[in-house]
Order: sequence, then C-alpha cells, then structure tokens
Amino acid sequence: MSVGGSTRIKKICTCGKKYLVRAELGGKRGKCKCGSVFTVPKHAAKPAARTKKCPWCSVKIEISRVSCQDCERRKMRTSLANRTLPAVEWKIASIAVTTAMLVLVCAIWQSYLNETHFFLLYGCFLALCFLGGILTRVIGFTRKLVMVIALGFIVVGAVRYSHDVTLGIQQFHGLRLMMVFGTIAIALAPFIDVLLGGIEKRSEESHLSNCSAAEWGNIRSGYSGPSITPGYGSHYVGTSGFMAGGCTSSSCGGCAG
Amino acid sequence: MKLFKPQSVTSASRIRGVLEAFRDDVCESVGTDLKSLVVYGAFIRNQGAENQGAIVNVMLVLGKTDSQTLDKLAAPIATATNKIPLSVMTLTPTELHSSCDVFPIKFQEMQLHYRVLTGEDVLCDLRISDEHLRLRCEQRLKNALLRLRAAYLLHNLSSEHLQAVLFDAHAHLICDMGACLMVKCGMQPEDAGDVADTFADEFGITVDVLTAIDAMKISNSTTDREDVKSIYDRFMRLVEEASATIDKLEIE
Ligand SMILES: [Zn+2]
Ligand SMILES: [Zn+2]
Repeated sequence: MSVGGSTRIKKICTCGKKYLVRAELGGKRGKCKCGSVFTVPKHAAKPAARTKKCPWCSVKIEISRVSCQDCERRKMRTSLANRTLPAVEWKIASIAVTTAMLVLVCAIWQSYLNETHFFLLYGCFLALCFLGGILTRVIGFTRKLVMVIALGFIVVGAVRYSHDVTLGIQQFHGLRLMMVFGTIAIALAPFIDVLLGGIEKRSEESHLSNCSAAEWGNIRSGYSGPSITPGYGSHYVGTSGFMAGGCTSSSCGGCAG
Repeated sequence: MKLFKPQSVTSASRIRGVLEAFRDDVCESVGTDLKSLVVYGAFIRNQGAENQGAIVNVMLVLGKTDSQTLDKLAAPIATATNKIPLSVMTLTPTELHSSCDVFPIKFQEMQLHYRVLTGEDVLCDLRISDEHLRLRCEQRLKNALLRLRAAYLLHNLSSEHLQAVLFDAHAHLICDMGACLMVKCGMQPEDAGDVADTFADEFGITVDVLTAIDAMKISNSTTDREDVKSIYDRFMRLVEEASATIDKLEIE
C-alpha cells in the first residue's frame, strides 16, 4: 500500500528545458541548467473539466473532442493514405489474376518448347520473382517489380511465339497445374517473410522471455514490423544476457518494476 | 529464421493512426470500463521524430480486469500489435495508486513523457514518496552492480557483448540518476544529458564515463577490447559510487 508522498508538476524554463518537479516545491525557486532562475508553479487543483489538452500537440480543446482540428486533419490525411493501401493490394491481386490467365494462354502457345528447357525457363522466372520479393522488402523496391517480372514471363512466351520458337513441350499434363499454381507462388513471393514470420511467431511463443514478469506483465507479440531496439520501455534484457533473472527496470515495458 | 527484415521505419504519423484506431476499438469493446488510455515512454519523448522501431508503451486503466474484460481487449490488441510494436499494461485505478510504493521509478518515468488518449489523466496526481523512491533507486543500483559484475564474468572476452551491456545499463542508470535527483532536490531535468550533468554537480560524482559510452554508441563500431574493459570498469565504479551515495541519502 502506498501512503503519503507527493505529486509531480512539469515546469518548462524559458530556454525550453523541461523539468519534473515535486509539487510541494510550488512557489519556490528553481535553477535551470541554462543559469536562469524560475518559480515553480503552484500545483493547481484539477480544473473543472471544460477543456483538456489534445493528446498529440497539447493544444487546449473542448472536453467532448478527441483531438484538435489540426491533428484531426492530419489523421484524415493519414487514413486517406492508408486507404490507398488496400487499393494497391487489390491492383496487385488483379495483376496476379490477369497474369495467371495470360500465362495459361502463353503456356498453350509455348507448348512446343522442349520440356526441360521450359522447366528451366520457368524456374528462372520463379527465382527472379523470389529475388524481386526480397528486394521489395530489403531495398524498398515496389512490389510492382515482381509483377513486372511475372508479366515478363508472359512477354517472353509471346515473343517466342511471334518468332515461331514454339518447339518442345508436347505433354501438357502436370505442367498446366504448375502454370496456374506457379503464378500464385509468384504473387505470394513478396510476402514470403510474412508467411515464414507466422511460422516463426508460433515457435517463438513456446519460448518464454528471460523476464519472468513478461509472463504476466505486458502483451507484446504478433508484431512483424521493423526490429525493436532495446531502450526505454524495453525489457532490461541485453543481447548479452545482462538481465538473466527477473527484470528490475523501471522503464521496462514488460513489467512495472 | 528471418530471411529478411522490412526496411521501412514506422513513421510517427502511422503509429498515431494505429493508436487512434486502437483507442476507438478499445472504447467500443470495453465501453465504460475503460477509465483511461495513456501512451507513455520513448514514442512520446521522440514525438515528431521518426520512431526507430522503439516499442510503443500503452497503459490501460480499467474498471474491471476480469478475464471477460481482458477477452474483449484481445482483438483490438492483436490488431494493433500486428501493425506496431505495442506493449500494453493493464491496471485498475486502485492498483495504480496503491503501487506507487513498489514502482515509484517506473511511474515517475511515465510522468515525464505521456499523453492521455482518452479518459482521465490518471498519472498527474500519483503520489510518490521520497523514501520509496530512494529505496527503489538503491535496490536498482545495487542490482545493476551485481548484474554488471555477472555480465563481466560471463563476457569479459568479447568487447561486443560488453559494449551491449554498457549501452543497456547506461540508459537505465540515467533513469536512476533522475530518481536520485528527485529525492535530493525535488526536481529532475527531462533531458538525459542534463540528468547526468546535474547528478554530477549535485552529488559530486564524475560521470565522464557516460560521455565515453555515448561516443562509443555514436561511433557505431566495436572499440578495442582493452578500451571497452576500462570503460566498463569506470562505469561499474560510477554505479558503485551512486549506490553508496543513495544509500546514505537522508530524506528531509
Ligand atoms: Zn533554462
Ligand atoms: Zn493536436
């Protein structure tokens, strides 16, 4: 049980430096690093809630509002930007479907190609798509690159056909399946890490964190975005096993300690 | 196995968007049981700047924390954690106020950088006692000392490991120094650099080693093993001195 103690107030010096001050010091003088002396404000009783601060920019807003007009506008802009995302995914899906159909058509065109050669060519394109998928993630190329490669596959077929190089493949049994599902593989290539991430996540869940408090403290799973750097709010668990036992950090997000 | 990592850095505005959606989802699912939703820590401290993958800490203050209420939170949390590295802490208002004795440094750190997304400002009137703060600070510093020694015994042959331990421990020492300052002077600067300088002035302890660690961080390359060992040694002495000082600190 916590008894006694004092509250804290924030004081910003004219130079911009911020301080957390014990409320009991209200009315007394404090000295800033910049040399100037300031008076600590007296801890005001909670204002009769008519207004509050915008959570993002601290501008005073009406109590009924969630955030200020500027922040709401920014939110709108962000959500608009986010809304284009599914549209992009949709475009990619439609490209994939079109590609699948075109590849099927081309496959029939290419049905005179030698089977081994065809498999080789096809394998090369799949490898390219996979590489493209990696590039979209690592270097930041757009996913369209993968689609371009996939469409390239068809173009090659079309060019071969126009040049009358359609010798080869006579048997078209398993190949048809490969043509259809292969394009699905092409479409999924950029998401390979997400797919692997899902498997990885499940295996990770079986390992408990070093910090015993993590078992009950905070929920932190499922994130598959950028890596998490240790620091404020992270578990006091260094790569070096600095925190081998329980967590003692006050700034630990995993436990309140 | 992770074949490759996404390169894009989570932008502050994207995180805000996710947090706002999270707030709306939580409000909808738990309704009036949600007393407050507070975002705190590194994300708020670095507002405006790009968030370099740091964890976004969220505190949910709930009227009820039974499994049914927690069940309702599962979906919104899962949605948000899939988009950003989110860390959620759930408490009741009573627990929050009654835990100031055991988590004084944690709560004080939260008071430094936080934003209320919805509900009451539950952090502004938390009462933290100096004696609890001092005791916790001493415990943390002594604990850090034990761990630093243990880590040294384990990793003294690898300068990379020692460096990693130093970087980690450095951030936490700053936090403890802030608490020491609060106990002694009743105020602490928000800026980490100012905390170290003020600590040095107030307690008469040299903190030059922290500058050396900062330099090591910035250079981003592995420093010579002997140099790292010497810095490590100086850092251990600093923690030792700090813990001895806080041990003797009288509460007015
Ligand atoms: Zn100043
Ligand atoms: Zn605002």
